Amino acid sequence: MAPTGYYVALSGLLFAIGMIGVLTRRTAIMIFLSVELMLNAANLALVAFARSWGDLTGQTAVFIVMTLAAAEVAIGLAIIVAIFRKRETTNVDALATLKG
Amino acid sequence: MPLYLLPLFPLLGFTLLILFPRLFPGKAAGWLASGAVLASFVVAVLRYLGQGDEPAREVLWTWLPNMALGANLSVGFWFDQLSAVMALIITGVGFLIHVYSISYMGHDRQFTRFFAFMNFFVAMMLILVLADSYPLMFVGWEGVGMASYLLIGFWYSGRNSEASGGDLREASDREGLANSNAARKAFIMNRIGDVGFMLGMFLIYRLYGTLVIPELAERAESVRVAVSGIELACLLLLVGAVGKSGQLPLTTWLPDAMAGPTPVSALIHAATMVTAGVYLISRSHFLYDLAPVASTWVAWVGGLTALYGALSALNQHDIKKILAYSTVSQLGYMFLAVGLHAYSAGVFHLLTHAFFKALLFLSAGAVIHALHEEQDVRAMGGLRKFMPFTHVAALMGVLAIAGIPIWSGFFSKDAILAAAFEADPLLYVVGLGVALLTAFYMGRWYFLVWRGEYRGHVAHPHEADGLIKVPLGILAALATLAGFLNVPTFLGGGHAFDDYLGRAIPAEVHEIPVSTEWLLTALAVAAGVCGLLWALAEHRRRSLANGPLGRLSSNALYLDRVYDGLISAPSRAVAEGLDVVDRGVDVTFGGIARNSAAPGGLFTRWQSGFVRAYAVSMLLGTALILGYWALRSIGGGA
Repeated sequence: MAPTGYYVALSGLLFAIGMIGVLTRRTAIMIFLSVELMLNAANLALVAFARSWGDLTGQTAVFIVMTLAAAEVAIGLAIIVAIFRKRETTNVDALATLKG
Repeated sequence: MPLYLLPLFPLLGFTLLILFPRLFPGKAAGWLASGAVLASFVVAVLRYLGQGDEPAREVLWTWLPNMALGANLSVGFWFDQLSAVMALIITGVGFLIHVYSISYMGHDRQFTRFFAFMNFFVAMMLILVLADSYPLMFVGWEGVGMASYLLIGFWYSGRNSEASGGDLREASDREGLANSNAARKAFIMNRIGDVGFMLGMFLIYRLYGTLVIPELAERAESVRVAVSGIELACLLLLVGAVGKSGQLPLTTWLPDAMAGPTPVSALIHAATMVTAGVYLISRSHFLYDLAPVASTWVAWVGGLTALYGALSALNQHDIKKILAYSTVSQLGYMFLAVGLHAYSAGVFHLLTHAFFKALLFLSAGAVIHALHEEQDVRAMGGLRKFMPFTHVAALMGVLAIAGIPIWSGFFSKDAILAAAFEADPLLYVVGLGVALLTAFYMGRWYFLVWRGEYRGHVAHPHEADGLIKVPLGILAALATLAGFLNVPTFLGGGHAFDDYLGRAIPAEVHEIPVSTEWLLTALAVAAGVCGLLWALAEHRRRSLANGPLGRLSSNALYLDRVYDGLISAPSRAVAEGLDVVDRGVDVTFGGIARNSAAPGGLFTRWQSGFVRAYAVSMLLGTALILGYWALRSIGGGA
């Protein structure tokens, strides 16, 4: 059984990759995918810690995160599709005019 | 025929024209407005024919609670001989001026608006003269003030404000500014008088406990109050009358009121507004009879104003300004008469003046029209050849105002001079001198405009059209013949007008021997004839323009400049000082406001709308918080 540290390191790596994706990508879909990656990195860390402490609370949290992620994707994609129909682009910089 | 119909018709005309101007294309608005005034005139005539000796009072509805002793003040109209005369003048002469305006204002862009205001003017004046209480009279009083403001400033942007040429536009802008200033001047000077009227009303209410005129007349006879109180109330009412009638010292707005279209000048000067002061004093005769000092003041204000107006008229160059100063002077005569308790003579002069001054103004308007807005008499002359009809009409007016026998001004002026002779020789001398000056300046006006060589710029001045000629003809006939309404006894007449008005205002019976009356008449006629001959001599030699008297007259005795120095300049200095303070306060508070708003502006920069910029700031924020906790736990835990 691999030590918890490895899982946490992998999780950190995934999180960093996701963050770089969010910061560098311009397409809304890609940003979305990167956010998913970050969420999954967090999930991985939660599961790893739950196992190391022998406590199920972390596992429960993972289910909540997954449910939330699913809901977020459903709504987010719908918004992106609607924006694309209207503006023919999903470049988030071009959408800066939507600021309050 | 109920009395409220009199002001109602023109008021309806005003309402229709101001609310639905699109409904009256072309000249329909003018005909509607004229019809409304004509309807009022018919009502006035019918009421006059059916009038008994007893005044009629018709109460419409209660108005101000507890304003009369034990009762509410109501909106009511009062029709006695005095208001009958006034109503007939206002509607009759007003109607003729309306008809004239249809042609005169025919090419104006604001044709409908003009007639709406004219109707409003007539309606308010009718309310003023028919009111049975001072507060209701005050409503009409303010109404005519408003109407005169609107009409004097009628060309508030100049007559050529839509012209394409740059020079023309600029001249028009300047003219518009002058017109607006004239309107403001009239409005403000009238407000000064209104303060006097209001204070007078308050004082009368304090003294007698009522402001209803018939009740007040009864009380003035039976209730004893301090004479000084009545004197003061009468002097305050005089201030109001002075403001509205352009008497000294509030006279300078009246000549400036020439900025309005010519029919407006005729309406203000002949039929309506400026006679309101004379009417107010005649209407309050029962108070003035108890106040000898105030009455003397009225007489002297009138006498001096008559002199001032006549001197100022001597050397004016604007065809309408001469007539305007003449109005000031003639109103002075009326004040002189009513101040001497010769109310009948004053009101009779008001009547004849309404005819001949309206005639003169409308003739001047026809001339101005024919010469394409030329108003300087130096650029006229010899118009008798081009406009024979208007020439004869204007000549009738000149003879009437100069006091030549059989023309109406002769009879009315004679009555005033007789009253002055009886009361105060000094006032009589002033009156006679003014008669001479009147004949001179009107003669000068006549010769400069109608005789001699034509000096104008328009190649062929044309005679006016029928709509202008008919009112001129009617007014010329009235100005010539109206004097026979009141032929005095020593000339074999029956004093018809005195008797008629005497039923409303007890006439002062003056006792002058017949031989003296003949002498007075001869002197007055001699003054008139001498004035005209002097004008003829002046016309030949032209010596007035360069003399000291001419300069004094051209500048209207410098009264405007005196006011400018004494009142306007100090007021402007105070205003400029206050302006500096105001700006200082403004800058201070503006600075405080800007400094408190500035930090907020920094945060708005952050709201760029770039999603990744937000993500970076989230990342940095999180890193900062994490770093802070890390430092703390290292520092504290180790």
